[in-house]
Amino acid sequence: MIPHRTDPGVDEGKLLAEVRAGRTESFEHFVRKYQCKITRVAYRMLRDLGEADCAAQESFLRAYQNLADFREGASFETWLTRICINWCKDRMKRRRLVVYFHQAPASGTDEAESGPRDVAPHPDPSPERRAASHQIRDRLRQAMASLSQRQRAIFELKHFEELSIPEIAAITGVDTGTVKSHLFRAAAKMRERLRDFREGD
Amino acid sequence: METHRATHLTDEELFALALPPAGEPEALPPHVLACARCGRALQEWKAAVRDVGEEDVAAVNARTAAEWRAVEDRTLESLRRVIPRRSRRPIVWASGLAAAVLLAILVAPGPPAAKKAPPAVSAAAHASDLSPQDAADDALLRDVARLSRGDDAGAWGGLVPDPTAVEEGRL
Repeated sequence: MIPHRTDPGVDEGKLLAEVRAGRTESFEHFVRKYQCKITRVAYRMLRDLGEADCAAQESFLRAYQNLADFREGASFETWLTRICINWCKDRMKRRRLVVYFHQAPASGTDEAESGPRDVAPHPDPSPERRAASHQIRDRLRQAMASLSQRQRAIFELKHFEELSIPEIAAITGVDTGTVKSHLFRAAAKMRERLRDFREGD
Repeated sequence: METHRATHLTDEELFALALPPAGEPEALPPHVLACARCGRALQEWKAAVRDVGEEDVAAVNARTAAEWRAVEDRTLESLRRVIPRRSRRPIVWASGLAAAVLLAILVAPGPPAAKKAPPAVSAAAHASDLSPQDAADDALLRDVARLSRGDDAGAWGGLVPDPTAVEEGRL
């Protein structure tokens, strides 16, 4: 019986021990559970769904092939995410890109306007609220565009992927103090950009 | 009215509340709890943060459950392609080694032919068990073997005509 992502109390450590012992089908649990999340992380970096799928698949393969290196008791999700991010970095180097994450469009650009706005519809779709929401989002994007690549990467992992600071530290390979420092600086920079927002409101 | 307006939170403050510094609990100022406008504005900021985060991965989120299932199946299939290959490796190794040993045996020079010759006594004893026809054949084969070893120098001429002799009219 293969556990599915809906199984709440599955013991991942036990499953990994089974995989190590040769019961390879136990690895299916991890694919079912983390494929979407890993693809999201990869997509944030690569901005290409096909490449993000490839990154996720390669990450699972590398994780499986290097399972002996996985430290018992650690978080498989964190380890897998780190593998994925490293794969994406290599990929981006090959593509000769210098950014970790895509550059957000500048304020009020066509791209910002034509983005998929209705992914999470506002519970109150009144025109005023909708306009206000658009305004905030545009301003937020502007503020995010002011971040350095690393600041933005850490900011997105924290606030969009909702990872904890120790998780981000483990994924990015820096200590927790450095992660906090990046988050603090990112927030300060964004607040600076937002200071005069809707001043005449 | 103007006094009340002055106490409203700025967007900078709302942003700080919507995206609290990591690890710090979200402590809402009393004004936000009492003021409907600021409470609503804070919810707008939180929703905006969530929306921007999700908009970035809209292409990923647009996939249906069935599509995700198919993507997961492809990953599992790629894993299955790797797993048997790994388990076959020792067999490939062993078969390569066996082939090398076999090649070494075939290529290596054998012991001198004289050592392989069966003892005459046993051959004679063996011949006594044969039928007359088999005995004749056996004798012929023994002659051939003896001549081929060079035991009887020049004796090939006795079995086969010398081809040059025909041309020279020596026959």
